[in-house]
Amino acid sequence: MSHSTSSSALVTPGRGERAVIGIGEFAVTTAVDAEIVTHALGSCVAVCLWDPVTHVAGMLHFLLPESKLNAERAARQPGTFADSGIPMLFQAAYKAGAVKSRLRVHLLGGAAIIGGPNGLDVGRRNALIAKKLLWQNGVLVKGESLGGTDTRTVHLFAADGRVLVTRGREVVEEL
Amino acid sequence: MSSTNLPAASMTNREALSRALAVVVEESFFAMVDPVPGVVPAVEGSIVSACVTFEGSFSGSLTCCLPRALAHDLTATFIGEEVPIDRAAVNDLAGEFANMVCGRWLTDIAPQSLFTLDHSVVASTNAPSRAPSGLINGQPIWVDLNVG
Amino acid sequence: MKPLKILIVDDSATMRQFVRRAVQLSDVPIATVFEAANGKEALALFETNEIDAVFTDINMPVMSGPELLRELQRQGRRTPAVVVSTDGSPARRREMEGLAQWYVNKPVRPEVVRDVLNELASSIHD
Repeated sequence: MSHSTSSSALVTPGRGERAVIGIGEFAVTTAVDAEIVTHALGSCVAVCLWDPVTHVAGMLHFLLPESKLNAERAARQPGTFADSGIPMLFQAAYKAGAVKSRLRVHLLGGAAIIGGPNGLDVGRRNALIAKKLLWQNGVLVKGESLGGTDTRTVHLFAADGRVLVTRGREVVEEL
Repeated sequence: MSSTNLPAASMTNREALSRALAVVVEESFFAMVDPVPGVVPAVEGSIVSACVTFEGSFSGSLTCCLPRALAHDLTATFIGEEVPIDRAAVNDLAGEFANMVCGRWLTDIAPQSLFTLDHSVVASTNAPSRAPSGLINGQPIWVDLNVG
Repeated sequence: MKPLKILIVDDSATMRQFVRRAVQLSDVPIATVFEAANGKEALALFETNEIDAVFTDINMPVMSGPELLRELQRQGRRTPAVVVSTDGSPARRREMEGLAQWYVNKPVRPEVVRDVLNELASSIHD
């Protein structure tokens, strides 16, 4: 299993590996049988992408919409913010051999978490800015699991691009 | 706003109008309508006004006023591409914005009625003196109904 | 799959641009995208071009969406049609039954345009 050891956080799982990413981190893999997982996705949004030809798979777990909210943190960990993290994820995927027109992109998370640090709206704002950035960059979303009030654990499988949402051991959604 | 021949109370229609505005802003412009704070931000530059008239089981008009700078940003978001955005495109988008809000509002409050909506009339104007309906990307927007 | 020739009819140029972009970003191969600002302009395009599908607004000056679709039927054209309208009322949808095969409400997400176009393309090639 791979974990990020750096807060700037690109994780690159190898063959048969399961990479776990946290807030502000992202993973890109070219290993066909790798898996990328993120846990406790609340108001944060996970952006998952997969190229069905090269099997390049990637996932970003971002916390907030705009990097201007905290320039110092954005410099240290750009994956924390949608507007710095999403371009970074895509650039890493392209570098690994993904082709934009083939990418299947899924968005997950953006829940309204009561008692969350940034109010109930931040999940919706995260979801909206992700959709906006993708549209502006000519990428349509293949599927999504957004909103609600529950946290999500998200799994992305490089073998077939399956995106699963689990709660405990139970698969609650397959996109 | 006259409510004598509307199928619902005027307060419900104001809520419906707010909802229609919120849905349009989120679905087509990936933004949220925020409440107006105590002090309304000053508007720089000109205001664009878009008025759409409708006829059906009742008739009237809906007008959206927004800073031209905001209309420009919304146009860029809507089209999605980095192309030069000229005044004509911004005016067109303002008209379509009003059209979408009006259409959504009418669908919500009178789903059993058929309405015709005229092509929006777009003009430059001054910032209204009344409080805005909300803020989009920190900039004010005014949405007004005139029914009857 | 043969690339499709699509016609977008709406009195808003920015709405036409939006639909055009969504169509071109979809998985469906597109040969040409035509645009018209009203039903009359659309009919003129039908006279001189082969058109595989039409996306049309309802409320337009000069000639409306329903008028356009009725005229196309009168001409014996069986072009698949998608209505894209702010009017999502059951009353309007009933009016458009038999005139259009798909109906999407504005505000519309680009993914919805893509999904409808995928269905439409499948129906043409089945």
